[in-house]
Amino acid sequence: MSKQPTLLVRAYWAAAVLALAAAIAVVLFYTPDEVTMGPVQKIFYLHLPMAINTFFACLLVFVASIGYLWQRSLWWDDLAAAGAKVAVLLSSGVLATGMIWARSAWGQWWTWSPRLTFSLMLWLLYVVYLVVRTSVESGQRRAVVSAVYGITAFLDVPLVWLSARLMEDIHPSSVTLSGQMRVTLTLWFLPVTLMAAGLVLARFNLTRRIRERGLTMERRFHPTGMQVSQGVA
Amino acid sequence: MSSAHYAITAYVIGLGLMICYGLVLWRQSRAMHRRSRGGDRR
Repeated sequence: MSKQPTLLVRAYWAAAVLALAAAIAVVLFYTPDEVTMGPVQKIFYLHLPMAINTFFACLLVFVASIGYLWQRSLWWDDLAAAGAKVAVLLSSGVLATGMIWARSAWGQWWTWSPRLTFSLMLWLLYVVYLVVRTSVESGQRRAVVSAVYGITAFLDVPLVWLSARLMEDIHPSSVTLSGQMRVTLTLWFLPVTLMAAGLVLARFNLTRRIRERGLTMERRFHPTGMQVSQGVA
Repeated sequence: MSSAHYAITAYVIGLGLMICYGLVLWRQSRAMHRRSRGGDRR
């Protein structure tokens, strides 16, 4: 397998950049301002795709963790780690954009409503996942601990999803959009999903290469030729 | 701060996070590629 970025990878990122440029142009010049909230409502076109992609990243950690416990292959563990890193990144974006919207719409940065509290918990759970990974030395032991934790942490995702629907919450559970607004929202899913998936793949490939390189170095320099540790968190 | 300023700030932070992480990964990937091409001199 070639270690250089292939034409396909370059084409993928070019498509993501083009989709992002188109989405920015649409939100600036095509989408009308919402009548009561004004331009701040446009945060929604970024906020929702980031939130949905956070759920997909958490789902990836969940599936990869099960995959690891089933097959005991570090390939799954690396995939889970890449998913968790992007989940933290995206949920940070969701919290930040949501807080900015709340400041303008509700007059306060934060309120302890069920949806917001479970979202903050989700962010914390995956930050702790990354901390746990760096705190366990042995490769296989780290993978087992992370997999069990990754499966458990996913339990918060349905809570975030259902909280605004089942409990009384200031956070809207559904939004009615006009035709142009619906087109904009649909369009924004493309660049955000392309970027999120691209970041997971890039992180995963980099981790695999570091691991392969680490193993090569250990075989070359360790007198017994045995694997000593697998230091990829 | 006006409503438009809040919107711009949110977009800069949200997209900025993803773009910055992408650039970090790109730099790490390039550094790794350069090291494996040049051979390890440890």
